Amino acid sequence: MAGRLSFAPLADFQSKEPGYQPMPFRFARIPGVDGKVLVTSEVGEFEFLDEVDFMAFAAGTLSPATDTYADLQGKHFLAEGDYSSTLRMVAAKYRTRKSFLKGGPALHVFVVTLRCDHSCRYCQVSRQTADQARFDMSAETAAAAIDLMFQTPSPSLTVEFQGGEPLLAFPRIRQIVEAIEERNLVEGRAITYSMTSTLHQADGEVLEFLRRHDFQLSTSLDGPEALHDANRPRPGRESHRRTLDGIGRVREALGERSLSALTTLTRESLKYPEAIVDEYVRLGFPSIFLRPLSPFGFAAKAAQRIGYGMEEFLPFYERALAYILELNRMGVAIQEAYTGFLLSHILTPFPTGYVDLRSPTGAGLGARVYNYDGGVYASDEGRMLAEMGDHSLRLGTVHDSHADLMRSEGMQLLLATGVAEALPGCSDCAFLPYCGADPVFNLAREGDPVGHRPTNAHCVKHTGLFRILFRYLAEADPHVVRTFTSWVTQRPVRRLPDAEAA
Amino acid sequence: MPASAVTQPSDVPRGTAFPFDFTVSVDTAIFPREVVLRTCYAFTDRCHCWLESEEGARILVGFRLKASSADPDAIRGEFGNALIDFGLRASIEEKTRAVREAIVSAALAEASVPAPAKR
Repeated sequence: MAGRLSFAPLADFQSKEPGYQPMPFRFARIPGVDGKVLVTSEVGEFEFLDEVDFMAFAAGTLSPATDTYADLQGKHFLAEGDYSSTLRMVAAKYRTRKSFLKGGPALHVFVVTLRCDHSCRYCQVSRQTADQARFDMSAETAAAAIDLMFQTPSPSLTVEFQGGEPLLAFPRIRQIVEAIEERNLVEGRAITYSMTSTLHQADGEVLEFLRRHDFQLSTSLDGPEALHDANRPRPGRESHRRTLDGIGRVREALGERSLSALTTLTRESLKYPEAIVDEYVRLGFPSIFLRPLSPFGFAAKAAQRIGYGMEEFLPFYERALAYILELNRMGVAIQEAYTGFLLSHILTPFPTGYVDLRSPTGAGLGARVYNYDGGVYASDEGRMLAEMGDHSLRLGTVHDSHADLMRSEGMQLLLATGVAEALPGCSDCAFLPYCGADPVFNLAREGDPVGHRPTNAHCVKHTGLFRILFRYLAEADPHVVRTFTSWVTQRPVRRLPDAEAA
Repeated sequence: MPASAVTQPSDVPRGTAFPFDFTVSVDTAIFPREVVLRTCYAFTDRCHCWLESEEGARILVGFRLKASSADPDAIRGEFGNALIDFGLRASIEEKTRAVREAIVSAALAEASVPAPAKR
C-alpha cells in the first residue's frame, strides 16, 4: 500500500501572474450607510466595502490574503491569471439577465374599449363616457391584432385586456379569447390571460368565462372607503363598496390567487401610508402595489391639484415599507409588489415579467399594445401619449406585419434612446444592473426620450428606492432579510431554510 | 486663479447674463474634460453651470445656484468630492472597457446560437 498521499502546496494552484484583473464594476455611497461603499458588477452582484478596501480594490492593490478579496473573487468582481473562464461565467449571467430579449414581445395588450363608467381624476387613459360605443374595438380589428400577435416568436404570450373598463366590451373579449384558443391549437404557445378591471360589471356569466380561461385579474383599490371614493368618483359615489362586492364575487368564482389589487397614489393618499396598507390587510390581500401617479392622460391635466414630486413620494414609500416590514415581523404576511420586483432584480440574476424596468426598454421589445382603433403602440403609455397628441410611438396598425412594426420609426426611436447602458447619468450609475430605460416616460414628462437624469422623476424615484433597499441590505437585519427573501422566492417566511435566508 | 474667484465668461458682461455664485477652477491634468463634464452634469439639478477654458490646461466652472437657500460652501465641497468619484469611475471604465466589451459580445453571440434539437 502506498504511503500517505501528499498534496501540492496551495501556492501551486494559485495564479503565477501578480495582481488581478478587475471585472467591470460601478460604485455608490448610500446615505445612512456610513463608512461603506456599495460596489455592483455588470451582472448585478453587489458588495459593501469599507473605504480602505474599496480604494485598494479600485487601485488594483487589494491583498489576496483578505476576506474581502475572497468575497470579491467569489462574486466575479476580480479574476486572476487567465480569466477566460471567469469571463464566460459572467457572460452567462449577463445573458440570463437580458434573456427577456430573446422571444420578442410577450405581453400583448388589447384595448377593447376606451369607455368607462368612472371619472377618476388621475385617469391616465383619456377614457370616454360609457355610452360612446364608437370607442370600442371592432371585430375586424380584433382579428387582425390576433394575427399580428401570433407573428411574434415568443413561446409564452400574455394577453392582457385593458380599457377604459374592458368589461363594458365583454363580447369583444369573448371573441378574442375564443379566436386565440382556436388558433393556438396549431400554434401551441403557452398563453396567460389577464385583465385590469373595476370588476363592477363582473356578473355570473362573465365570472364563469374568466374562470374557464384561468384569468389573472387586477383591480384598483386606493385604500379606505373615503380615500378610494374621493380618488375614483362615479355616479352614486359608491365605487369602494362596488369594488369590494366585485372582489368578493371574483374570489368566490376564481379563487383568492386570481386577483390582485393596486393603489394609485394622489397627493391626498400620501398622508395615509398605514391606513392604505391596513385596508389591504383587512381585505386579505397578500400584496399591495404602491403606484405613484402617471404623467399621462387626465393625470397630466390634473397634476396641479393631485400631483406631487418624487421628493414627496419617497418619504411616503419609506414609511409604508417600514410599516409593511413591521407587520411581517408581527406575523402578517403582506408584501409591496414593486419592492418585490426591485429585490428580484437585486437578489437574483433572472428578469421579471415587469416590462417597465428593463434595458433595453420593454416598450416594443417586450410589450405591444393594440388600440381600439387599430393603432399599434410600443406600450400602454405610448398609446396614452398618442391620446395627448404625440403619435411618435404609434408603430403602425394591426394590418402591418410584425417585421414592419419592428422596423418602424417608433421602434428606431426606442432603440436609439432605450438602452440605459448608453444614457448620460445611467452609464455611471451603480444601480444600472437593476434599473431600466423609460424613453416613453421621458417623452411624456420632458418632451425628449433621453431625458435629463439629474432632474428626471424616473431617475429620482428609482435612485431613491434603491438607496432605501440597499440601506436595508447593508443593515442585514435577519428578519428583514428573511422577509425580502420570501418576497423574491414567493415562499412564506416560515418555509425558508435558514441557510437560504442567510 | 483661486478656486473661489468670481469671474464671467469672456463674452458675457459681468453680473448680467450669467451671474455666478461661485466658480471652481479644475486642473485637467488631474481631472480630464470628460470627468469635469460628467460631474457638472450630475450637479445640474442644483446649479446652472457654465464652463470655459483657462490658461494652464484648466477648466473654469461657474455655478449659479437654483435655490437661494442652498449653501455654496456645501455645494463646492460636494463638487470636489464628486470630481474624485467621477475620476475614479473614468479610471475603472478605462481599465475594464475591453473586458466589458468581451462579456457583452460573448453573451450576445452565444445567445444567437440555435438551441440543440430536442431528442
